[in-house]
Amino acid sequence: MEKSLKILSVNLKHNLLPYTAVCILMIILSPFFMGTKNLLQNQTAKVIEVYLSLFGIIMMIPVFSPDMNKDIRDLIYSKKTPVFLLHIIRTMQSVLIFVVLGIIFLFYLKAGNCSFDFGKILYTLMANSIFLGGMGMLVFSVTDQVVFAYMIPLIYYEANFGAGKDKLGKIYLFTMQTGSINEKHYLIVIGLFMVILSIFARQFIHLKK
Amino acid sequence: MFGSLFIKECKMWLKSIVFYAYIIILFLFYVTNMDESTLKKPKEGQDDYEWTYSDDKKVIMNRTLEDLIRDYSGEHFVTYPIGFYKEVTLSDSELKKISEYISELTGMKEEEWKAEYDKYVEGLSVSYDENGNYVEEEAVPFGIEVSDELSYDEFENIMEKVSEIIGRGSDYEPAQLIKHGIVPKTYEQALKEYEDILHEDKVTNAYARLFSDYLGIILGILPAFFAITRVIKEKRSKVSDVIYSKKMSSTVMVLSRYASMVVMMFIPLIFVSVFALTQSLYIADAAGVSPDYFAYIKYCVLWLLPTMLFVSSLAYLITEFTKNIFAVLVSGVIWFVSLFMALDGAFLEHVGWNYIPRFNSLGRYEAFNEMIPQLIKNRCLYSALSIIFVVLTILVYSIKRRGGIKKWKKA
Amino acid sequence: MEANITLENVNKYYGKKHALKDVTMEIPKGMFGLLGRNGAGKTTLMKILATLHSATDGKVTVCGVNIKDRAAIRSMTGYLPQDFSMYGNMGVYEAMDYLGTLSGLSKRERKERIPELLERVNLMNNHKTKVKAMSGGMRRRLGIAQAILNNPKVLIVDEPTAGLDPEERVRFRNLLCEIAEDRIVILSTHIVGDIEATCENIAILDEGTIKYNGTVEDMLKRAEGKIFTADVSKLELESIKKDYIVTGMLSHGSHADVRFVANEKPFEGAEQAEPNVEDAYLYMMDGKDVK
Repeated sequence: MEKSLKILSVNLKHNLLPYTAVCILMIILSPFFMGTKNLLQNQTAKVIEVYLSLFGIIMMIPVFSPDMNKDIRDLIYSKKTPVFLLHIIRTMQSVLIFVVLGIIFLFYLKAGNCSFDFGKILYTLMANSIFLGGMGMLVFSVTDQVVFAYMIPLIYYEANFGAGKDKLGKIYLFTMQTGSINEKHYLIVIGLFMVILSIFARQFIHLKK
Repeated sequence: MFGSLFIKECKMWLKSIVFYAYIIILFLFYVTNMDESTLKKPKEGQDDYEWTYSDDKKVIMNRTLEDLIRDYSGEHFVTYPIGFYKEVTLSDSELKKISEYISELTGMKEEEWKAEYDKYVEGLSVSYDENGNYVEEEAVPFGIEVSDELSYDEFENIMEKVSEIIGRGSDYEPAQLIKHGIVPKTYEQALKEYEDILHEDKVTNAYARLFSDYLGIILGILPAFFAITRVIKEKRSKVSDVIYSKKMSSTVMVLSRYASMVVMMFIPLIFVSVFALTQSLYIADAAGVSPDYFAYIKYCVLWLLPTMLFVSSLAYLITEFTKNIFAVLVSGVIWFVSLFMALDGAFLEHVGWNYIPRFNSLGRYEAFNEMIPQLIKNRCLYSALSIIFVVLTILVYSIKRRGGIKKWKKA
Repeated sequence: MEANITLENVNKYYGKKHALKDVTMEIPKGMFGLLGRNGAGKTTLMKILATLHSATDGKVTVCGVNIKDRAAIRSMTGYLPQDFSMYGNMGVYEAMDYLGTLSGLSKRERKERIPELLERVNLMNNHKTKVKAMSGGMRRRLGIAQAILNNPKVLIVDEPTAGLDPEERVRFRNLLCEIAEDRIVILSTHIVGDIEATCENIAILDEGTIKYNGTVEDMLKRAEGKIFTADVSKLELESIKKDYIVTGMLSHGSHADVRFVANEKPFEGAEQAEPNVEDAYLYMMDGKDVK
């Protein structure tokens, strides 16, 4: 327990702080350029799917960045705590942070007289974010290139605007705007799968090298 | 010296995963977005020929007035600051001002036009048809019109004041006013647009514009990753000290890197455009017109290249300065804002000072022609900014090479 | 043209930290060793000579050229940083070719010099090996090869032997000596053995100031009569450690042979010894205030 807390606090202080700040800034700035009052379910869904989905990319990709430097990586991997555990804890921390921020944001919307199903919208936020974040983590893990890890999910996100539901099917990100939640199950499952795969790949790739 | 360094930098990209990902993304983006529909000549007596903006000032003024009175009466105003719906609630004094402007527009007293509007509303009957669609029937037509004495300039002035009250991103901004005057195309208009595609655009130009519109979106961000990758690579490989101590001037180093990334991004774009060209050549052939073989290359150079130059130079500058991935955030934000800002019309046609010009329509030759002067200014601006950013990058690089100006930097 | 480097009243600040304090010295042709603790200012000094940092004030001339003329200085110096590295996916030859281009060598010059140098540092058989797959020693050899690619008048090598195994270290030192035959080679180290084996002239830096600048011989002379050995019991050892600078110790059973610095014979049983470079170095570092 004490060990996990240590991992969490170190990670927050030395790694996640600027990213968390970006997310908080995104929330603070949102009322200036989008409606946060009197929104209906589908309008709320648009804000979440189009805007807050990016939380995943912002918060989850940094899970691997502390051990990007090979020397630090060797050092960390030589310690007793298995690295996959470290990565799982960090991932959970990232997800927790953006979910908490998301909940705060949703409460703010509720206070602004928006009418929506809290559970469904929160689920949408988690599914989209974890999907995009998981995608970034997987790319990071396999290629070891942080820039690339941001590029792929961002492009995928963009592709959703052009390609639409017909071409992307179950992994189309913007379905809640038309009231469909079924796709979110696919997103969250595939997202979690990518997260696990990336953590596994990280371990495996390192052992090989 | 520049030459051989440039070649070496290009070769480095051939080993980079980012380069290949770029090619794949470019192709996929083209394939998934491109509309393969062929051209159809409009037939007389067809039900609808899609929509167009009216260029009759009277129509624009009256439609705008109508929308304004509706919004005013419902006390419900909407803005789209960066494409997201935002409801605006006005205070009583602000509403009062709006009503004064309406009086000014109509040349009627407040009570007069309010009475007219009430008559209109009373005559409205709302029902649902058999498909469950909402149907409005007007017993009394909307009769309030803009005063005949009001010129379009005066009208625009008033609307500017109205939009100031409502806030940024409303449909009452002068540039948005034509959106109120959306009318069905007539057969003649539809035919004219079709003829323009054939004879003015020679088919290829019309498709090349659509191509530039789509590819512009993706080129609004991808080049940033090239620049960031190049700088981060130097940092991660810890080669700075060795490279810094070499004789080669910072100008040549930065320019060769920048030029190589631009060239390595531009060549795949040309390939994709050739691919697109062959398709539009086919369409041109089917329509029986002689195509413009240089349409795509022209648009790639004049439209897309400045975007590429701008995005990569900005990211290069920021990354050379910060040595971290902060530029991902900056590029991401301006990309996001730019894309949403363009979503403000019935047609996705937007140049302004947006670094990603949009023209999401096939044909519409005349509308495009009107945009050309602004497009040229826009492209010149971003090319000029790119030059400035590159010069600044050279400056930053040479300062870093001699140990920086940061006195606190550790040895 | 002068063939030496002169520094006059060179100061370097990093914010409030005074990294180099009024450094004045001359570096002649041949191997020149820069000794000092970690953090004494060696790397700072070398980076100034390699134009990677600029001195806050003072005057530096390299072979008659003012250090501020960076382009000219860069074309006549070669620099091997402490942790030399290259783009991981470049091969040895490719890396040399790239760096040669940056040094302004023509294609013909590169074609001529690169194989010759790779031969000299014994990397010709590995010329396609990727940098990321190289051992520390190989990487260091590549580093030295690239540093002399432009046939520099001045070669600056920062901690060249750190992290090398003893065999590699000897080979590397010899290589440096060969190179130093017709130019200035400045190497920094905190390993005294490196200096002993190779350098004629040295300077000792301590907390940014020059503690000594001269020949190795002179330094040994200064320490003459100040080095003592004694056979003491383990119990006495603690007090000797407290009072003197112990430069060596060999324990056997309850006794230990100690070697230490003292201004005069400190106690019965202590015998004067011939100073070696390490003794002399330690004497120079702290010897001024020993008892």
